[in-house]
Amino acid sequence: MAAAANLRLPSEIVEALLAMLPNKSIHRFRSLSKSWSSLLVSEEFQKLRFKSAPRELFVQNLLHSSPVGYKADYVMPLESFDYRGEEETPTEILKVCRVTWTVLMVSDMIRLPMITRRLQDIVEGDRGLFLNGALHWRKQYAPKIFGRRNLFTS
Amino acid sequence: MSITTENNEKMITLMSSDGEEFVVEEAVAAQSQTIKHLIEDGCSTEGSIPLPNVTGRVLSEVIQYCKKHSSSDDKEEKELEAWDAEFVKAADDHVALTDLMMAANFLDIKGLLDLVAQTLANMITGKSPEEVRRMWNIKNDFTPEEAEKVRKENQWAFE
Repeated sequence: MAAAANLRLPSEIVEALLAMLPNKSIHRFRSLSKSWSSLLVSEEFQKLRFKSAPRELFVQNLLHSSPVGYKADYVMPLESFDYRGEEETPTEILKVCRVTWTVLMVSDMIRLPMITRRLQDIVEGDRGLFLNGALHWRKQYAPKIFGRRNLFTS
Repeated sequence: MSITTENNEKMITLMSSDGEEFVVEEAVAAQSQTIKHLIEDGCSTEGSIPLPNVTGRVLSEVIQYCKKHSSSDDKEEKELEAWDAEFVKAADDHVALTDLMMAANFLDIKGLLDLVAQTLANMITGKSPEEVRRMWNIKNDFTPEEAEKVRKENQWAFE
């Protein structure tokens, strides 16, 4: 089709589109072009992705399987901490552990080494969910940090 | 569908970039925040509201969406979701969806923008960078060295 040959993806909509993508695609598309790359690593984009995406749609989108009906009140993308794992399975977080800066999972007790020190801000956080590169908490179980700072809250 | 002139519903005329006119209820047109503000500013009192960025073909699709969503308060959410799914399926190629997303962005219709963005996102999720470049004629402006570096850094996402 001739129209397709000239089709452009205008900058005003590209961000809204990319914000809907799962973690893995976002990493893959960093090699698409310089402008995509700089957009995808920008802090603004990270915030847009995790804050302004429709919450239910977004969580639903992230959850490939159970637990059904899980709605997160707080979401923290570990990409912001340079986490590059490819864990896709929703996993319950037992605790964000202060001493070793690791996240302990209930299902198989995987240890995710946290790469930067920013996670030290988290004092404690129980009963969360880890999926697609982000930590999710319900309000009643959220780490105390969310009460004081709103950086990653919805 | 719904002819509500007996309710004295105010009608608005919208004109597309290619000169096509659409007469719609104000409540339908006001699903667009852009049009709503134009109406509030009195731009609809004389003649039609010109929409220079939207073609007639795209505008008719947008109006279809707005009609459905302005009349669906009492309807089941599930039914509306199913309708939305059919709606984007009908426009199921990335060229038409890009046009639709541009229009939703310009007209400021959040629900439609999110719906189309999600559809396009689903479409490209599993694609390679090269496939996505071809879809929208995006130039790969990395040098071979840079390309290699970025790819290495994100190697896990290609596996």
